[in-house]
Amino acid sequence: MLLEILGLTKAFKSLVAVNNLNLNLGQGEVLGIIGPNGAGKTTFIDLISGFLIPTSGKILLKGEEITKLKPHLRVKRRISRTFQIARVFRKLSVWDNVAVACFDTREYEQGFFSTSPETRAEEVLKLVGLWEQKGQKAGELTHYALKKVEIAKALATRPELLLLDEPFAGLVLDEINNLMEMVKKINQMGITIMIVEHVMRALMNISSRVIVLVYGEKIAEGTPVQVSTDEKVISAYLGKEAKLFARG
Amino acid sequence: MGLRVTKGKWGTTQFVPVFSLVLLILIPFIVKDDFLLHVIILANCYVILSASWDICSGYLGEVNLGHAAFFGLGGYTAGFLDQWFKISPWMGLPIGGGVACLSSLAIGFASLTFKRDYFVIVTIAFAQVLWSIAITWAYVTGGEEGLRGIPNFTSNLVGNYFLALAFMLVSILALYVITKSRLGRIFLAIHEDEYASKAAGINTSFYKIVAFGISSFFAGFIGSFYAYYFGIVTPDMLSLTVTFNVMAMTFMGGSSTIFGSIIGAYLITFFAQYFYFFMDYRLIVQGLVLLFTVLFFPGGLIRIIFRSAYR
Repeated sequence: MLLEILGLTKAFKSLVAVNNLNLNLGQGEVLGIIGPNGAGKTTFIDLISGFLIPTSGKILLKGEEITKLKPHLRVKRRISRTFQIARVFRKLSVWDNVAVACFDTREYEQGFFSTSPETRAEEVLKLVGLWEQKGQKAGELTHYALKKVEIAKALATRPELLLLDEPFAGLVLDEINNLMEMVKKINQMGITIMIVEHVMRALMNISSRVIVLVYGEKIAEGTPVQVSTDEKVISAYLGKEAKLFARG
Repeated sequence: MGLRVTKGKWGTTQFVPVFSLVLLILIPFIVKDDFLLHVIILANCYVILSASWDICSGYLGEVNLGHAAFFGLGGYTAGFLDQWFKISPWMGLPIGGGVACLSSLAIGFASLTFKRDYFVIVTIAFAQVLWSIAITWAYVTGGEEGLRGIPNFTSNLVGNYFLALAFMLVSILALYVITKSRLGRIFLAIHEDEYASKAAGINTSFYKIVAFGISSFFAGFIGSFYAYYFGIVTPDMLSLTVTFNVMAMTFMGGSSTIFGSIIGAYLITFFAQYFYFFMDYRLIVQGLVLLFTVLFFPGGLIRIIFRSAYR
């Protein structure tokens, strides 16, 4: 088991954003997380990536507890994340954005990203299709390219678990399709993915399993088809959209 | 953000620095004006002080209001080393830098690992505490009179002139190389978005302390030189005015550029020294010019003079 989450709770004063959540995540899975706005999805990502410390509960990575570990130390343990609104370094070039993420992971093991930071930056930029724009300032890029830089930055840290927070938000159909293929490719490289998304078509297409959060609680879990036909989920979140999915 | 040099073309970006350097080397041989040489020595000291402030506060974005503390620490270290141990100035320079650097690591560890605003307050407090100690603990520090009789590197003004010039060039180049290295890009990344930097696996607290340490080392180093050059250290070196002057130099020249400090430091030092009779109004004029620069040329003068290089 790659990640185990036991009774995870995060409360902001009286507001419970994540409530007693339990979850197991196996190596190579793509786990989709859906839920209405304010359901605690981003808080959940923040808790796993170390940007928030839970009120109670435990997070275990390969059996080792990482509940209170700082974000950069979790990155060293191969958990990487992207942000809902791309947080790229706008004044740096695309190349530097990715290179900066390569610098602080010192050991260069065998595997997909086997070599020096510079080579790794090149590999990542080619993978996400930004190699041609490597010299451009990130602040001059389109929304779609920024999303790709955000993913490239996360990949540059050589994650085993990649947390994607709404990667498809604000993209047009073609862009969503391309990015979806990219996410599948990343998963095929052996990277486990946890993805929060509102674009249901994309999420259902790439996830092997989906959980549904409402008011910080998990109300359903299963394959995309199981979840989209679940009555509780339909009434709480999906509405009519689900029936369209169920019909295919 | 960084410097872009177009290869093969001989433009302002290449001409001005080379011409200035040649001029600086020739001045002692052409002009027999001791005061001018003295002002240039002072300006070179301030270039290092200003550029070292730039690396922590301009590049990394942690505003250090106690830069004078490390300048003064270097100066007092030089003074103590001479009075207590009779150590040569050549040893005194790196030791002065080292003492400033070590104390900044302690201060940085205590303040930079916490929230951002702590740092500003802690640095200003540190400088004020050192200033008070320098004044009140007169038995050791000489009080307001300071420590006197510190030996010069050389009694020859031209010798001191070339030493200061060499230190300025080496320090500026060293700082520039740092900003162009991986370290420099990490500093810029932290400045721009600390959250994103953490997500990129960067130990932001560690790099903040590193930037602060580098910055303080250069401040202490040049503080020692300043003490050896004048043969005296006084509590003035530790005063808030020094820090504000240095900040004005950096902003006027152009922050996050390193080279901008050269323009800022030279302009302000020359103005302050040659308009000494204007002393009462100097700070007012300086403040107005700084305000004008920040409002209308927020990138600093270097980004106007070398427009094509700094886009």
